[in-house]
Amino acid sequence: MRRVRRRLGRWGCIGVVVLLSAVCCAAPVSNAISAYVALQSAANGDGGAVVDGGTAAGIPPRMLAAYKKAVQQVGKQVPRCRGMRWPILAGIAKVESNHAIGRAVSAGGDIRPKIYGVLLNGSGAGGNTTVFPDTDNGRFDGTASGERAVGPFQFLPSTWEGVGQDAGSDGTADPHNADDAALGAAIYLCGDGRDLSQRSQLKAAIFQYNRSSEYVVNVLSWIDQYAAAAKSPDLKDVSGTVRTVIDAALSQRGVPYSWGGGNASGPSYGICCSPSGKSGTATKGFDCSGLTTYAYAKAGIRLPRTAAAQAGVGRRIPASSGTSALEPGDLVFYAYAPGRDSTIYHVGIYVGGGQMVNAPRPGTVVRLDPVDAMSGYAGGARLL
Amino acid sequence: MLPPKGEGTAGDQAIQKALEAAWPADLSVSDERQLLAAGRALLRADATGTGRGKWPEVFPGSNRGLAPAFSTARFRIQAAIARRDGRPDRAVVHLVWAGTDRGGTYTDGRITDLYFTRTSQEGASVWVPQPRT
Repeated sequence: MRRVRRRLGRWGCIGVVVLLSAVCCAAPVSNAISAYVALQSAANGDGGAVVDGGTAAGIPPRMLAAYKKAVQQVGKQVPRCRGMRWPILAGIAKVESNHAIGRAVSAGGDIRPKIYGVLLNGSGAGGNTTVFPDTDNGRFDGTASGERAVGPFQFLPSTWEGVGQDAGSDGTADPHNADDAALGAAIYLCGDGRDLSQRSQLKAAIFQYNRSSEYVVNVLSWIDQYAAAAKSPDLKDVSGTVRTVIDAALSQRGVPYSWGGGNASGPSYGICCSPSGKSGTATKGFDCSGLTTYAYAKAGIRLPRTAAAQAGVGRRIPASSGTSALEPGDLVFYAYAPGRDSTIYHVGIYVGGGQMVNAPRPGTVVRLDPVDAMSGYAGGARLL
Repeated sequence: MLPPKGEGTAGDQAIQKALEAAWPADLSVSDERQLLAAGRALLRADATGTGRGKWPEVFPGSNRGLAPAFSTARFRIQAAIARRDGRPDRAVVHLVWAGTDRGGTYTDGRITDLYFTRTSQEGASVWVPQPRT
């Protein structure tokens, strides 16, 4: 197998590639979600969970049940609240505690060991340099010398005093209980009666939870991903060449990602190496543009081999139109500077319902992901 | 070629070069330097809470304390450029960065645009951050 030395100076698609195809592809290192297909087990390093019909992969079922229960109950507590749905609570819990993954959750919803955030005593832990005076004498956070955020939704004890409710009728309102905590979070987000179906109000609610614009962006991204993953893409109205392309890509689910791998004939051994030294030479599989090349070849369409070059084919769907402008079969692009196609780093195939089939990055496999799983949405290309 | 995500610092230089090649410099060196310093500081302050006190107009009430949304330890700006934004008195700092949220999920390739307006203070031009929408 040949080693190809890559000089940092050739980006995206130049098309000058002499020997082997340029590679591409990336995905957030975080776990992406797929509701439609069983992901491989954590053994392949991806940390994916097996789909259990009706749940979104990656959320432990008992936690998801808590979020759904809170949605049912919050109407009694904040009657004017509109638009609360479980992906909102899931988005918050994801960034606050990763759904308490790794801990035991009892049938009654009690989480052990208890989840404690950094001690906010101004010592600089976690970047916090302001003293939060102790308010609960350790009742919730186990310490009387300061405050810690607690539970799956990381409430400060002082905040919990204001919103805590007993969701499970066990007589206590416990921020370490999944049901109580989810209800508390829902109450907090609902405020005086927000309409959370309005994006601006949803943003305001999340900002109140943690006053950071990047926090809001992060949570919204997870909310959107969970909302997409909750639906299975419906292919019954997709036919003809579009169906051929999508079926071809979906038929490769589970095939490993390989840096430089894949071509019109199928999976292939890739090349060495990515900037950090990841090699595809030992892996028979696809990188992102290899997968799209293969899928379109099945419909008789010959794509250029790199992601950035593929953006130059067909009718460009601009990023400014949003992901709702995508149709099944479209190529979907992601760039470090959306609008400048030479910074495109990833491509997938849209299948509908807010999801795409793609080969994300080294260490993953061909799979379905929400189109919101990647940063830098750079629009699409319609070839069919 | 552009690195996939998860490449760590080894991929950052490639991203920086890609940004510079795709979006050529169009500001004076001193403007760009001022903007980049401000943009990096503002992003770090927003994401980790560190240094908010220096920007009271952007982060009112920062003395009240904050549990950081992203940990300081794994926060990293991978690439950044400062460019004009339409008019000569408007600029944007485009940052690509990595961070770990409180739940422990690390994601790189995050993209943020911060906008600035040029004003004149005592004869010197100063770039003032615009509120995030």
